Amino acid sequence: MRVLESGNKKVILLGNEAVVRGALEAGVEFATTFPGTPASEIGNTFYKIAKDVGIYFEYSVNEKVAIETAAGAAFSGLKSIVAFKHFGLNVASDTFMPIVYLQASPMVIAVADDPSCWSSAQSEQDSRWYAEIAKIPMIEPSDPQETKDFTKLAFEMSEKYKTPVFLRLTTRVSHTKMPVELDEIKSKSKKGRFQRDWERFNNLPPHILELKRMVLEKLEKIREEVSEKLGYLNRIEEGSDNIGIITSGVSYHYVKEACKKFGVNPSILKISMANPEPKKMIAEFIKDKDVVLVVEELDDYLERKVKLVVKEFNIQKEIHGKDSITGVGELRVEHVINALQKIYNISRFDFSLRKEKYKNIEVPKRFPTFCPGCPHRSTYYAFKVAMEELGLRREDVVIGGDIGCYMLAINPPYQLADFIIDMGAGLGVSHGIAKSVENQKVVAFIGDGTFYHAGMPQLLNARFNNSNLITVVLDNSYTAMTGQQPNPGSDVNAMGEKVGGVKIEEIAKAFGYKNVAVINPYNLKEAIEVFRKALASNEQWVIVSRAECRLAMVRRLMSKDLKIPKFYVANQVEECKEKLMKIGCPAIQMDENGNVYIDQDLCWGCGLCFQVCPQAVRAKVEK
Amino acid sequence: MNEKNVIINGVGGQGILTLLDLLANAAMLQGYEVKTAEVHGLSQRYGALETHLRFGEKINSSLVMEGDADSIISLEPLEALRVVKYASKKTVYLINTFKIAPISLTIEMKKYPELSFIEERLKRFTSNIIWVDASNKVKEITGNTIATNIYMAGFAIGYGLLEISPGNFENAIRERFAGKDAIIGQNLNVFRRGVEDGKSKRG
Repeated sequence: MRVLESGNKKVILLGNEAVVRGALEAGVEFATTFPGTPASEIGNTFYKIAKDVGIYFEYSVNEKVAIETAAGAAFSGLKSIVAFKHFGLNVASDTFMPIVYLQASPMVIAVADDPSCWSSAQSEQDSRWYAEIAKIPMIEPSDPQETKDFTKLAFEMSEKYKTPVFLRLTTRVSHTKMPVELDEIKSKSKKGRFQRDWERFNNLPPHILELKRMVLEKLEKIREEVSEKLGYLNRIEEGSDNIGIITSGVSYHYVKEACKKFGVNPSILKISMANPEPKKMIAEFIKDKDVVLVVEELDDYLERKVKLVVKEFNIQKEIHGKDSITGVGELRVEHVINALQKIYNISRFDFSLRKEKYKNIEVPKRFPTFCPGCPHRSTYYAFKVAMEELGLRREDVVIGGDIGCYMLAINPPYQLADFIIDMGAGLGVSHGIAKSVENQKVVAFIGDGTFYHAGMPQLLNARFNNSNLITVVLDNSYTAMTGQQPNPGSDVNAMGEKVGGVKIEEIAKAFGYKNVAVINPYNLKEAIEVFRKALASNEQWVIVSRAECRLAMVRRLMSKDLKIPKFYVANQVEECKEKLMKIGCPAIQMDENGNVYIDQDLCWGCGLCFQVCPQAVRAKVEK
Repeated sequence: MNEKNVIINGVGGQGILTLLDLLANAAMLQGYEVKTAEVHGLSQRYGALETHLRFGEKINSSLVMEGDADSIISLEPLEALRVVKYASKKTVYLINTFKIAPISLTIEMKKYPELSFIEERLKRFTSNIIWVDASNKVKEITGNTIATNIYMAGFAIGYGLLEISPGNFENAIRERFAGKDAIIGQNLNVFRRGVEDGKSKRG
């Protein structure tokens, strides 16, 4: 494994792998996560190597639990790291704030934002603002090499200043690969010891205010000793004209690239620690410039800080930022070139002209869909049939969706999710709707990973406050969308301990639900029957639709050289053609003569097509 | 060498991220600075997948600029069209002929466009379009289409698009699949066929 290569080597690493390597070089002993893209590979990499290195790693139930667990390790004297995506920080925020006061260290909190929302519904969140609220020092690397170096540095800082450190990543840092120079790994197995210390942990009023004072003083100390230290985290590259560019994170590379392409040489202030920001360095940088442009992705976080420095130091300068560079979506070199053209008042590139040329070329959409054989497709198929058989109109059934593979049900051909908000909210909001409407059925779909993560309080609430919500839990035994990570439904945890999976139907029963059913989605008839019963009643239901993630199953079979079952179209039955195509399985296709066929490389043998059209489809029997 | 700006794309599940990693490693072994970017969300679920590969003496951004691709390696014909904004006169397109119909077409029982329809549109941007019968070739060699990605790399290198030596790519294969000798053997075999075919296409 590249991430475990010995020092003095150069290997290609993904930004997220570089976080792990940096932590290992710093001597990390304890790592936690809840998977979420673009941060998923941090946990996945720890998962692969933790046992070999001798350190502890867990997939926690959610991000709040993950940060608490990592803080517990830090309080016990172990070097800990927790990683999640930006929305994870929302979930973890309740703990994120107080552990800064309580000096959880050495501890690094790695958070990956997702400009352009490549893997994120919800919102295009800029997590840098959290650094302000929590008063935590924040470090932003621009590429995998810096990610490795800065992660290591973050641990050193955390230890020295007795504060957790916020390592802020973005998709383009997390999901970029480049050769990274390695140093030696220091991590090894270690047990800690918790020291009682009420002076430190006393966050009751009025002492809490003393803690706050201490945190603020610490930030000022870090500002002087780290942030203002020229050439350390924050650095200046002198240019040859009077234009100044202030930038951070991956935007730095877009600035460099744009200047090269555009043929200009402004001075660049690269800020890798924007909290606490280097006020004096910024003032000094701006002083002799004619115009200053702040280049950053998402919000005007840095720009506001620069504008405050301008006020505080009473400098009269023209500061540009979000008036020239979009605050929506991921930045690209093109955006920076456009801003430079404005500032230098020279026009060399016309991207809008290009856009005119390609924008009218229509390409059929290729939206993501369930894998061939996915149990979710069967569950939604059964649900749709049950609705139709009962004569329920689509508008009379409210369907709450949630975060996970099954959110793909929002796409055609199923379109069986009316809203997707955030993890667990499908259940919570659906309960609210159920309490508000009459003559509408309310159904909430949630996956097993999301159910454990943030669905249990909602399920309990719906039971206690008595709504006639139908909850369908799609249980495929993994947190599948982010890469089949184990969750409390799995038999074995991340450290390989056989712990026994928790059954969701047992939780529902313990909560007091009377109508609890478990269905096998691959048994279409039975699944339809249960959905019919639930939809026809006016009662609370919990239906667990259980079948293993097909992708995981197929991978397991392939690794053992076992055959995957296959189906094929034996008869071109006219009335079946549309029915088969409308299943929306990637393996079911139509040839140039209008004949339906099943691609044998893609078929993963769930048999849904066979149950839909037994007169057309046959199982392939291997000789 | 001037920097190389390469787009590699196709459909999630076609081994594009593996191909990207192998080429990045090979470029590093060749002595270049290299960066890759994976522009994707839920690509494993049969979505469109776009990746960027840049290498040369000094590389900052991992993303290729619009119109700035030296080559575009598309593992699926429709997907070639989806990334046309990166193409300009200088761009060489290498496109696998193997069609994967998107769900948006199949559920509406609509036909997949003809390759000539795709080519006509690509030609508005560049005249250098090379169709490669990669998946079918690979199926002949190995019995399935899994190693299409490796064949495409071989073809691109054999054709001289990337200025990476076959030996360095072979070493990247050996590193990536270390311990799995059968897979290494098969991939080297497919890769070499790709190199040969790329060379003979070049003439």
